[in-house]
Amino acid sequence: MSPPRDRASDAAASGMAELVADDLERLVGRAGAALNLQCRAAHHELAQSQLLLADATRKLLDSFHAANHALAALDVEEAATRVEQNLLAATQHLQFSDLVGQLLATTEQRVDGLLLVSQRLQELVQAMGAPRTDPPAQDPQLAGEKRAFLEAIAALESCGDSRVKQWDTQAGGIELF
Amino acid sequence: MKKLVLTVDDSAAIREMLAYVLKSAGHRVIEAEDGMDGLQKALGNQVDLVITDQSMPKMDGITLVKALRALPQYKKVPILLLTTESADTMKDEGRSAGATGWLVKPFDPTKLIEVVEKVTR
Repeated sequence: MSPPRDRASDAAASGMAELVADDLERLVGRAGAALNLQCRAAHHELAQSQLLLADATRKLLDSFHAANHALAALDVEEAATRVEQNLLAATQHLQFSDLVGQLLATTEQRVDGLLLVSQRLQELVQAMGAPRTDPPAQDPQLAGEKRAFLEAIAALESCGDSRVKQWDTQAGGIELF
Repeated sequence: MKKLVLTVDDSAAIREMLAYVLKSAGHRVIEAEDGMDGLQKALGNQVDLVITDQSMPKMDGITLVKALRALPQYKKVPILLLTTESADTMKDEGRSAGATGWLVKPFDPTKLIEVVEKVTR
């Protein structure tokens, strides 16, 4: 049997540990919720950007072809040559949609990874706060949530660098083997 | 001399821009949406040049190059990879597979025509 002062000290330490754990749980829960909210917003914005870009590109391409057909019907040689040169130059810049589309697809994949991590984090925090009969180390539900959380982190870590290195629509290099 | 060019890319914008530039130089163009589609169209038509993207669904560009080089009728047909990829390791892989050249997007239309004329001469 421990002396009265030691028992009081143990109780204080235990109370402090509970307070720290509660505080940490609240903080992680709040961070997880914020992460989840922002990831969802970013996910929708990226999807919206993809749609807008695809729509704009389609309309640009249609206009491009329409201008080309209209030009073919013109009988003004000099003007036609100038417009043809401009259309040819535009072919380089219209390729931006492919580059941006690839970038958006990579970012969407990355945000999907973040979203999954935030969902798994919330589930883990809920499982940590749930009343249990087993000690935490032996709780099968908690172990399952931890595993799912670690898998989500691994999936996020596997998101590689984007293949698109270009920062403008200047022409790329040519190498003949 | 007019050539028959097969362009393979999953991006409609790139396919349409390639077709516009190649046709403006007098060439004929067949378009394919991915490597598998490209292989089928190459089997159905004896083309003079293939321009393919690298990263595509179903079959990537380097796999398409290998598949074409395995066919007797495509042993010597020039194949250009046109891609956003510029890593040396990827270029080496393309060269080993039998590609004729590596072009990084976006392409300059005038330089593309020069390269097409050079490799199909």
